[in-house]
Amino acid sequence: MSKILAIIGTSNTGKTSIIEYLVTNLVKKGLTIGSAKHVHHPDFSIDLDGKDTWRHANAGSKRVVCLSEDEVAIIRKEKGPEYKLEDILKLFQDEEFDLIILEGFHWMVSSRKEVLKIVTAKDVEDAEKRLNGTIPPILAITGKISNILRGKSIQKIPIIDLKDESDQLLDLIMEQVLPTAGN
Amino acid sequence: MKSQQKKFKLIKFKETLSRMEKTIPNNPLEDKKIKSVRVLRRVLTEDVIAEKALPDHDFAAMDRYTMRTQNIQNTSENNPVKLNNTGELYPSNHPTKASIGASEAIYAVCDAPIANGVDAIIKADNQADKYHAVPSKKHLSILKNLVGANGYAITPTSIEKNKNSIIDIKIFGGLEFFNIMS
Repeated sequence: MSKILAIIGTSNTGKTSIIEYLVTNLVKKGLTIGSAKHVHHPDFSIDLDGKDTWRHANAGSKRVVCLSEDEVAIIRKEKGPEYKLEDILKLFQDEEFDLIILEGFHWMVSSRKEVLKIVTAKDVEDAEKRLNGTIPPILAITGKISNILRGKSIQKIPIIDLKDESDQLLDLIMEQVLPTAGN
Repeated sequence: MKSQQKKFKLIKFKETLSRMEKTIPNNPLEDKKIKSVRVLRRVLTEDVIAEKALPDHDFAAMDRYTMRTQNIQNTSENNPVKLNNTGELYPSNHPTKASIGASEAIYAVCDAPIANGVDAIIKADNQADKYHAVPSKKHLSILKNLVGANGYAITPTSIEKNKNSIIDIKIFGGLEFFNIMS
């Protein structure tokens, strides 16, 4: 059973950078990672206008699968906001993942106790807004807030500066993903 | 007074109009397509209609005040509108039965649900002079008449080109919120 970790916070608080850092280092530790991101922009498409796959979809294909040497892309012409957490997790079912990292999806995970959470915040006020109504486990608070409150905590949740305390963050995740890690 | 009356002879309205029409060239200015962010203090030639909802789902894409268009239509720096901030919504409030009343605003945190009746949103920003207005929800025309009523203009085509952009019309500088939460 994969563990799920959601990185939640408002835009421009460093969610993607943290995920980039975590994936890089957790993969080095031998973990198999999957990740998903929520995009707010209505016209977003990972496809490129005018490309063959785009033409398939534009003609009406509900699902377009593109296979190349090193990548298989599946484009589902569906409404992302209508997905539930379980629907997202189904997309990872065909392989065993140690950890599935979600970027965003706060509304989906805030009341889910099986989802680990890391909050990114600019300042204390920002952090408190993200924490409001969000249930544990919340492993850490990070982002710009750590520049002003390094080593402190909010609601007993540690504020971690990724620049200098990144190992601490990795350890917190490893303890959850692999409870026996380090033994 | 008498000497002034001798100097300035009064003329009839029709004659005044006739003189003005002869003096002022009858060639109205042509409309011009410009970026929406450069429209402040220009004259609107057509209503501005947001053809696309941003976001296209009913939860907030950023921290923002949500409200009703009809309550802010005539807002300007010289004509501030006062809205009661009646509450806050968080992602954990999904799904919500909250609704918004007349002259009310609800603060919605990023990823929080949008209250029923909301059709306009203003991005919350620490600096009061940097409010942004963006359309919310489907089939919305929140900018219809809004800009024109205040003498500011956006050409509709510039919105189409920038339909994913935040429309910074800056006329909300006078908007005030009263927080009546406990």
